[in-house]
Amino acid sequence: MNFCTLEFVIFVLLVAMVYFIVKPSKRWIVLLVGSLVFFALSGWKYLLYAFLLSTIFFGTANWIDKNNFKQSLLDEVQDKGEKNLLHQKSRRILFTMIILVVGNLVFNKYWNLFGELIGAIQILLKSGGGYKCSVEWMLPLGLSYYTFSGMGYVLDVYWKRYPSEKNFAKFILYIIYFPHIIQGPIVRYHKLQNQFFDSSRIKFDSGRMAQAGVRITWGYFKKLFIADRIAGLVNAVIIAQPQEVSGSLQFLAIVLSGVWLYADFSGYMDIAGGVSNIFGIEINQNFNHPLSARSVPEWWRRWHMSLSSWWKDYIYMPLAVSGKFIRRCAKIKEKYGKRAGNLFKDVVLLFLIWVTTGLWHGTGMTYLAWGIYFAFLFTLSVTFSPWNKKVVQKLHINTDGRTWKIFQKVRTYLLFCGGRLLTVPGSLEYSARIVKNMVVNFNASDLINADEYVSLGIYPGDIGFVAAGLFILLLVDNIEEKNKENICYWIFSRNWFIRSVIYASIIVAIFLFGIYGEEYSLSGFAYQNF
Amino acid sequence: MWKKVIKKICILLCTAYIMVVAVAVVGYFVNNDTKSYTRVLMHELYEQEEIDSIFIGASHVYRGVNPWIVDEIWGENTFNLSTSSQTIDGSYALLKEANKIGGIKCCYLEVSARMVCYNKETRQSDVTASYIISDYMRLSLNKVLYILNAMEPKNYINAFCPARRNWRKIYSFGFMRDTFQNKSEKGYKEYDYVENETEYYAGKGFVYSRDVVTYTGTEEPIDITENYISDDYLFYFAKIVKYCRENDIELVCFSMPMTQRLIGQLGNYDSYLKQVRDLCERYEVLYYDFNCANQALLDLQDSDFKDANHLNGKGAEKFSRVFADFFAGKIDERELFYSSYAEKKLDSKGIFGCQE
Repeated sequence: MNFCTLEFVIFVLLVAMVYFIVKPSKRWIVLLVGSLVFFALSGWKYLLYAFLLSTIFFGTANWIDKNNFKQSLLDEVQDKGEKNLLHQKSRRILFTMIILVVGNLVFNKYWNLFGELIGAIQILLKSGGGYKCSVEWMLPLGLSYYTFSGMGYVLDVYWKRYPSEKNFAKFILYIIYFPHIIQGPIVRYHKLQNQFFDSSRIKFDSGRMAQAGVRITWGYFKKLFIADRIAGLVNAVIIAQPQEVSGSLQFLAIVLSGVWLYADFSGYMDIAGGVSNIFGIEINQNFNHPLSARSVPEWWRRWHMSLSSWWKDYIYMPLAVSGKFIRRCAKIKEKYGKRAGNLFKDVVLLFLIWVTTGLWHGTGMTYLAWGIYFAFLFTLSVTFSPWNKKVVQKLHINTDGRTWKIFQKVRTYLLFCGGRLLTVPGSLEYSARIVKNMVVNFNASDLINADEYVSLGIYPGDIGFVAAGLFILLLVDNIEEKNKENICYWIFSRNWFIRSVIYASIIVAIFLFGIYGEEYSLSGFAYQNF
Repeated sequence: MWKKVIKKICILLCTAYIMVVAVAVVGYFVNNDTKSYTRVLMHELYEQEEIDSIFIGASHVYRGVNPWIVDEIWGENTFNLSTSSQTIDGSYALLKEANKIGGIKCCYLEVSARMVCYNKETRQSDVTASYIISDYMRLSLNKVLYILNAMEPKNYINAFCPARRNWRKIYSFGFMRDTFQNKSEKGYKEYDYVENETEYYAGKGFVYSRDVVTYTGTEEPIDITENYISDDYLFYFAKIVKYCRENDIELVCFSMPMTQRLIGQLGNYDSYLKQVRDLCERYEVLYYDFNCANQALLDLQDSDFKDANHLNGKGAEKFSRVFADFFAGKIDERELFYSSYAEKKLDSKGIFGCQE
């Protein structure tokens, strides 16, 4: 079920109505049934798939928890051998589970490549021309998100951070909770557990409803007014691969594609977060105003935070503190010096994380190149940071000055768009052609020439709306960054007339000028196929 | 606590008010209906104090039945409530709308060979003709039900909010300026009758056309099958019959005349005629097909048609007189109508409508 449909709005209202009618102790069941219905409406096979994986996570975690309990009963010294044995068993089970679920994720993501292989084998075995893999496969809804959530949960149990959940129904609610199943965020189990099952704390609160309403409306504005509008432009200028197009328009499209992704993804987060707030459940923020970031590492600390913190907690840190890796780094330090040793540690881990992130985002060379690109930028940042500071000091640049901050933000954003340049066109070859065209065929006057847009099927007036949307987005980000609180609180602190004007303006903007309806095909969210 | 509640209500009402005003302002600039007949027609309808009889159908009716002539002969107040490509669900909605005015004794419902194969699904994908009706109906349960039935869910917002439908016009300053200027004119505000190049709105739902048919090609032939009248048409026909019975409105069905050239291209016209007669008999409704009218009494030539199936103003005058005289009892049914089109052809002085 697409979030941008009337059906979804009605669905949420119905679930909310039932949620607040039933006894507080039964409310988690309403959420569970609602999530099951949501999944089922999106496709029964998705539900079965999630059910199957949930069983694996649930079973593994409980088995490990049992072992943990047994270990806790044994003496540290006298029963060391038995303890180690139990620990080894837990590890084996854990690794088996990881291989299974990661293998499943890889299989689903790379099915089209397997499909090509199967198709090729079919040609060899059959006579006649043409090939098409005879097995079609659809990526299960929310697969990445609940795979990561489930793996994180099992690892937390393995590391004895909290005991496992003994009730399968309660556990599966965590996995398929519908507001966050499509694009995350990846929430840790213990953070949701108290919220789902502590019935006494959830009361109907009009203030919370108002906040949720504002947040959801803001999410729809970002998605329907800004993101989908820019998507049309990017599609026409880049993705559709038009025969002749100005390099300056391609530059504009690439630059706007970053805003497109941010507005789309954060818009979804606001809708998901707002819907969850209706039920009194707080889910993580996934964005912390990345447009205010002044460096690439800072950008990624502010962008898709739940995924980066997942990588950090479950991949980066375990590797960084693993005995084998520490010993390897120590050897490098011995041979080449302390700085070299630290650099080795950072660079290896960065490349590993970023290449994996790239491959998680998509198949093909473009995403591998994307991962390597950001690993490279991170490496540069880490390696040259001390020299950078010296240069800035020597040039007497006021690093607290507004101009310098703006320069850093623009530079960081453009570097992010460099990554978009690798992935949006769809192939490295096309990306290279775009770069060449941008250099050779750049004509700034094309940006204000209406005929250039019209020839690509773009309404020139849409650029004005994009600019207005971008201005509002930056304004809101700025207010939130400055006040360190959600825009809802800023709005609620205004007088009632101003609040009315703001609400009415946003709703009218979505209602009258949003990209939805009979002319447009219903677009999903950018990250929903992960 | 009450202060908080009152404050919240104020915010809600203020927000709603600002939204309505904003949408209305945008709609004012992006919807240019200064040449719309339906706008004037519906305004005129709502201004009526009482209507005795209505004529309902598609463009064949609003170009072919002149209510002023009928009023003269009947001594009544009649109204032509027809719009372009109006299908039977639209006729049903407008019948109910007109009945709110009060006094309707008789409804003359056009049954057209081009409209009886009405299919809800195909219709829902072609919404312009539905918008023409819904845009000017006053907000009521009837309007809501019409929109919900006539259109697919994806068109609901466009139907309830024309400003959304035409929002892209906001990009054209020239268009908005012209629209504002046209709407500022006294004629627009006072619902003056509109006039276009070749025709003009003459009041009471009638449009006077000056065009004369020229045959530059052939009309697309229609295959008259055994079950030519669609289930969707039958569904709404039954609703209209039921509504008229419940509201003491006499229902009379009729077919507007077409050029004989077009009827020839339709194929077996009598097969269609039989199906319509059977339908009307089943519901005990009178039906008269003016394509079977005696040429001696209703002598329609090429010069009386705007195109193959629409009368022009001159033809409408001729037709309206005969129509009115017949229903006033001044012309005998057996003298006016042949029992079939084949019989008319045999007796015909010649096939008009074939001059090229």
